[in-house]
Amino acid sequence: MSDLAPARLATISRMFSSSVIREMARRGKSPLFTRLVSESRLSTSISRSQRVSAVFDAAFSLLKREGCRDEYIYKTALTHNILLGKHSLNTASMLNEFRVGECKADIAILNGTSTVYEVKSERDSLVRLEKQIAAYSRVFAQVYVIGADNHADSVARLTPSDVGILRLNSRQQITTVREAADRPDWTSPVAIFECVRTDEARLILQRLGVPIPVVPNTKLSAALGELFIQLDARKTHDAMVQVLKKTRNLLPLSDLVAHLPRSLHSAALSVPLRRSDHARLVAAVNTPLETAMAWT
Amino acid sequence: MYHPYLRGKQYDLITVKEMAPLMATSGFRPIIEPVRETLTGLNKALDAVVAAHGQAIVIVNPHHGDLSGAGDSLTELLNGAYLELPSISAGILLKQETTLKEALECYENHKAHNPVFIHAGFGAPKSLAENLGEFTKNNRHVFLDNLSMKLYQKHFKGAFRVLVKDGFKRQKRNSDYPDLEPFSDLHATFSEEGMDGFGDFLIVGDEFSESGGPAYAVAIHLTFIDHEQDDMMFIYHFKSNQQATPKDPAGKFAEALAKMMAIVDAPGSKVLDTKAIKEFRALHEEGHYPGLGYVKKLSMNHHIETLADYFAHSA
Repeated sequence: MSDLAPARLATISRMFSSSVIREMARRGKSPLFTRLVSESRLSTSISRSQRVSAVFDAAFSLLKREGCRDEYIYKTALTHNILLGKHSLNTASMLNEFRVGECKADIAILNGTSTVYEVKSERDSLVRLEKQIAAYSRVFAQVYVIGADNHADSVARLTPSDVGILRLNSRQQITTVREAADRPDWTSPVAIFECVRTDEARLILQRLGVPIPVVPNTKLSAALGELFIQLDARKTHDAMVQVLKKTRNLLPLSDLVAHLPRSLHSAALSVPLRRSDHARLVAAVNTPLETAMAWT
Repeated sequence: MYHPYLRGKQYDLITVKEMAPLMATSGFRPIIEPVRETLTGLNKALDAVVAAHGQAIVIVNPHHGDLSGAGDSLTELLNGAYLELPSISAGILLKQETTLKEALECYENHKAHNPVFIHAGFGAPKSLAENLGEFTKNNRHVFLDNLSMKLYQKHFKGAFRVLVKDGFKRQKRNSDYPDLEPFSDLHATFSEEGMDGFGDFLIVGDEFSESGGPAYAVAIHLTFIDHEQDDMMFIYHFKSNQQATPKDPAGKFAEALAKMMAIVDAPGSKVLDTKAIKEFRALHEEGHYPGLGYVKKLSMNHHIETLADYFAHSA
């Protein structure tokens, strides 16, 4: 098995980017996809009568080999094994690239509690890890780092013992190196307020029985922020989980996911799409490669 | 005279609808490039133009958005209702990748629709002018400034020519805008450039973006004409103080609006007290945030009202 050149790997990774998915959903075709396929020379190994979905699957198999894996491979593993495996879209929701302070959490899953997963793939550095962990533990009860084996020792050294560590094996299975502690009482209501939307902050307060002040909408966010300062951490966290499970519910996407190849499930659950665009995305993915290679 | 160029997003179309009567009496003719698959907004805007006895140009082969490359379905929709009307012209967008054959085909299809050519990087002006022959002179030609040179425009001499120049200098982030900068002088100089009309992309700029995501800073863009500086048009960019997170757009809007009202209501303010400004003032007093699209619409309305006032007084 020869190693792929980094530039080619990056090209293949981009096939799963939100730009490609969005183009396909909006226009039923993606010139960017066509360009990436020819640049990555994937088109030479796949018959032109095959569909676009086969190219995604082929690209995914290349990326999932150890040493080549990118963030998307890890996110897919979390999506399949945890969100859709251990839980389901009926019982859990997933947040993708969720902004927490100055950081963006790769994946967070909400079921009875909240769990955030920071991905450190073969291609990532650990420079920001400590800062990220500190920010995430103010919002989520459980914090995991999932990463490549070459990071394992450093991650264990850089993180406190209540932070969990996961690894992804060559068969796309997730194994636990260290369990995370469940610490909703360590979260911060102010940090939670800072990363949810104003309508969600209002729902959290309502759940906790706090009356909502009547002010013009330009003053609402500031007024709600004042109220969060006095809240109890565990109760606020639990209310946040319940609220976000509703406001960020992914169940309406289950039909879309069912019509897409496995390699695209994580992308479909992460890129916000208009409902009316779903059918177009499915059609684009089922286009024969022959046609797709002429997309402009 | 003035040809505001609008990408037909929801609020651009509402601007066309609301400004239709004023644009009709001012002799302004909007150029609309439809970008949304659902055409209800476009229909409402064109209904308003027709009801006001105004005129408009609708691009039948749009380049951006849902409808790019799907001009046929759009043509079908427009053919039935609007293009038969003499006040609604078919705009033919000539991009760099447009071939002469495509251009002429589109022209043939819309010959009866008072076609207007929108020159936007097209490569064969000479052959097009030759093929159109004498008809060239009966057509309106719109030139996007950054995409067509003087030599290019020469081929269409004798026709009604309109120069569209983007006065809006888009910045990557709202926080990057200066507080005040020049916008354009084309409204005062187009005839000296040998043009019969002019246009701009209002306060949006010639850069199409689908969404952009949440902004870290809110900016309100406001144009005014400075009569003390040879009627040059300038633009204010009022920005929020909070810029660290994408949170609380409503609170940020209030901050930017407070800065704007301080300028607008200062004695000797050069900003015209338009209907849009009156609405901004009401929002300021109520502390209400109507959404970013609505704010953009008010800025666009203000821009059109400002130009309408300028021509009403300079004639």
